[in-house]
Amino acid sequence: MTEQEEKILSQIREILVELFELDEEAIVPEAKLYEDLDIDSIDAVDLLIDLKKTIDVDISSEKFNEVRTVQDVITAFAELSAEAK
Amino acid sequence: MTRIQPAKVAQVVAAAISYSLFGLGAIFLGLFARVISVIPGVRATTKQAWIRWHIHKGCLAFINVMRGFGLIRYTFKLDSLLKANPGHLIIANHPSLIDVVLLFAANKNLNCIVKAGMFSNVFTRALVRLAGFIPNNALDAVPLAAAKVNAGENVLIFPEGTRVDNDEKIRFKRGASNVAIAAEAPIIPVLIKCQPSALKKGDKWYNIPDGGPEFLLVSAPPLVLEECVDITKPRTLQYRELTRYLEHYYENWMANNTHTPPYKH
Repeated sequence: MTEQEEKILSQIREILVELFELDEEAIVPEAKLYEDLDIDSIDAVDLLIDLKKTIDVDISSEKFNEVRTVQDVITAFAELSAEAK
Repeated sequence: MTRIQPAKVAQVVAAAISYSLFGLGAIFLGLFARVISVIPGVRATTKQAWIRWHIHKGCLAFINVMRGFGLIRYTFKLDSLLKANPGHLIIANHPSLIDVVLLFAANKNLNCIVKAGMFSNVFTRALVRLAGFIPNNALDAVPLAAAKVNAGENVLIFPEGTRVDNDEKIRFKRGASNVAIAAEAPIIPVLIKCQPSALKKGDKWYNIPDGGPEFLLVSAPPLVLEECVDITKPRTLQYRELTRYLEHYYENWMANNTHTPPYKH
């Protein structure tokens, strides 16, 4: 995992703890959003709004619909912030 | 071999007739909707009112046929629901096959979330579209239901998602809370009691207790969101808090044999 991805992971952790009453230890890259973290498609809409505010990347909700795991979220945001540079 | 009881045979025949009538009624309504849908010059809201009126009368006729045959008995104590101004989310527990029929029989103008497949089925699509019902598509159902509530409709959701045994612990999905919070709308809870339990998931349609199960439908005064959840918290937390609140609410309500709605806990 690159330094940038580490940074995104810690930002995601903070947001997930705040929005979903999750334990930090549960938020690992391989955790599945729906099955392991009980984050459904409606939650994902709220999550995306918060993520965009924090990470400052414009990710479309169509693209975000495809994410299944925490790692997918990291990858999606890392790719976009790389493109932005 | 068990002896065949004439009373049981009569009951099964009566049940078969009732469900056949229901099927015919549904087909008739589907055709009626298709005819109405091509009539020019009539506003969609007028067509919607026609369709909903027919659904209401059809459901009322069906439960009265069932009652006439002695297959069910029912009592409605739904004052708070029938007198409420529209623009509410209506929730109910879901013990039996005919819960939705009973609720449509009691309400002249009710919206509800239906299987998305009904919008592509050739028999039902004109009906559900004209009635303005809401397909249960994963992402669109919540905003659409919230918009309908905000437009002044009463939208029915069964938070359990599917029929469940009354004796099980109450488990709500978050969909109803999602809608209530998105619409910032009050919730009218309805308790459906069915004793002895019948027509529940896994029950055979012809397996009906003698004398018919007794249905009791009670509605409670509207629940205001601010009294159920901390509305300053993120919405994702409100969805969870409200879902837990409603689960508790129904657990207390079901445990209370006077059927008086629980207030605060």
